[in-house]
Amino acid sequence: MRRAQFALEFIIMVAIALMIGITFLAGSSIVLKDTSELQRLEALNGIGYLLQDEVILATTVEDGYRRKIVLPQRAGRFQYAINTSATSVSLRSGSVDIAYPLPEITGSFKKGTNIIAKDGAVVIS
Amino acid sequence: MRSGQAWSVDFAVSLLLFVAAMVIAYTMLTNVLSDRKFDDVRTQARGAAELLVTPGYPDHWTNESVIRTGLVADSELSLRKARALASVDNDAMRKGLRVTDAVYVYVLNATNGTEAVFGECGVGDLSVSSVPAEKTLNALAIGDGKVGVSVETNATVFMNDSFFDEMERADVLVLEGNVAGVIDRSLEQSSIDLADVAMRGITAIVIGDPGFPVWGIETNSTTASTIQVTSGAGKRLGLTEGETIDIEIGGSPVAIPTLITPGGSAVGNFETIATAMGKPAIATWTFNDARIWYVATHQGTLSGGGNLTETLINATEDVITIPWPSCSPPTFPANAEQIVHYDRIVSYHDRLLTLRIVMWGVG
Repeated sequence: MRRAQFALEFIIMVAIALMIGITFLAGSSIVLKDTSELQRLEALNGIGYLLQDEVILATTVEDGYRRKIVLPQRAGRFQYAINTSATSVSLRSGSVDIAYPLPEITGSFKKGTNIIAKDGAVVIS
Repeated sequence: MRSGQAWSVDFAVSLLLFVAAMVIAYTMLTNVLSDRKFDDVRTQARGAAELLVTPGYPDHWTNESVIRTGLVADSELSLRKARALASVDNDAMRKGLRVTDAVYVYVLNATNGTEAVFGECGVGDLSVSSVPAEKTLNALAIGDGKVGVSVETNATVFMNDSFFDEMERADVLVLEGNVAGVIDRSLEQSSIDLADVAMRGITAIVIGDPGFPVWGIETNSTTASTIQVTSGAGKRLGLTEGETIDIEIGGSPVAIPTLITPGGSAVGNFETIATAMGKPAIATWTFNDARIWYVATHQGTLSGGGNLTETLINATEDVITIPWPSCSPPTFPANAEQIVHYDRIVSYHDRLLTLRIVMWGVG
């Protein structure tokens, strides 16, 4: 049986194809990673600005105001953590950590159901 | 050795097709992502445009208190808020406007020329060429004739009730000395009317006790030889932190109307600039949307040289005549992608101006 005479050329061709494929994957992964981080930021901002708007709304209404808001377990497809202080709420996901300033509040936000109440001051429970 | 059979035409064609497929896949991927990016930039711009034509939060925000940026006060463009927005760095501005991409905000008049309400051509991630110029704001003053600061400025000076007929469109108000002593109208009504004017972003300078409660001002007589400047905010009045102002007359201490710290829901961001016997003698605060500067006396010699009257004249003139450059139309970067702009109409002194926000991604 004759040995295949195109073995070396075949290896070269496959190598070239692999290099092209790897270059494509590398380029795509950079683009996709950047996009993924932007999506993370967008998802966090969606929650952060919602909380900001809800607390601002609560400060402008009469005492006796009650509103239930439900925070998702994930920000889009990303895990996140919430940390609340008297004048801000921080959302952390991956390497992104953003603080959203708030009017003064008592209590803290958590994933799931939160009640925003106004009785003199704005209280989160 | 025989030539490799792999170098056949069909193999070369298949390699070419493979490369073409990779290129097409990459191009499609980046196009899809680019479309998403455009939607994102457009959404940000639209949200920021809506925010800009609101008062923001708090309603009379300053750079220290701002949570949500807006440029409107009392249904009109607030010069105070515009100048405050111009004084922050671009990252803080983006945060207040809830945007993450490049942004530029500017104001156009009816003939599509730029109105430099920000003290510069616009605010944001763009430099626009301009020719330095100034504008004299509509400034009115009323006083008992004993202080003599505003007569040396571009303010129109009154010593009677006509001041109150004209003040509706003023950007700067100066109250000097015992204003209550020169007006015939009700002091209570005058106080209310001045509080109403303060709903807009005016600047008010009060020198001495006006004789009636206005803008949160209540005073106590304090006998002192010097006023000590304690805060860097005095720089805007031409004073230096740590400077001493000798106010003795004939070597004797004088009684001056020091402030009782203003209270009430309309008052915010109070800052003592200088004290006499530990009490506020020069201070600044916001009252509704107005920025108030109070100076207990116009007489004194500065330890750094010069006299207080002259310093106050210069400071008042700096408030009345402000930078208002003549601007070229903005030119956006060549690599700006997904460029979007939104226009919103705002009222300013009986004119309709266009507030334009431009946003773009960077390639």
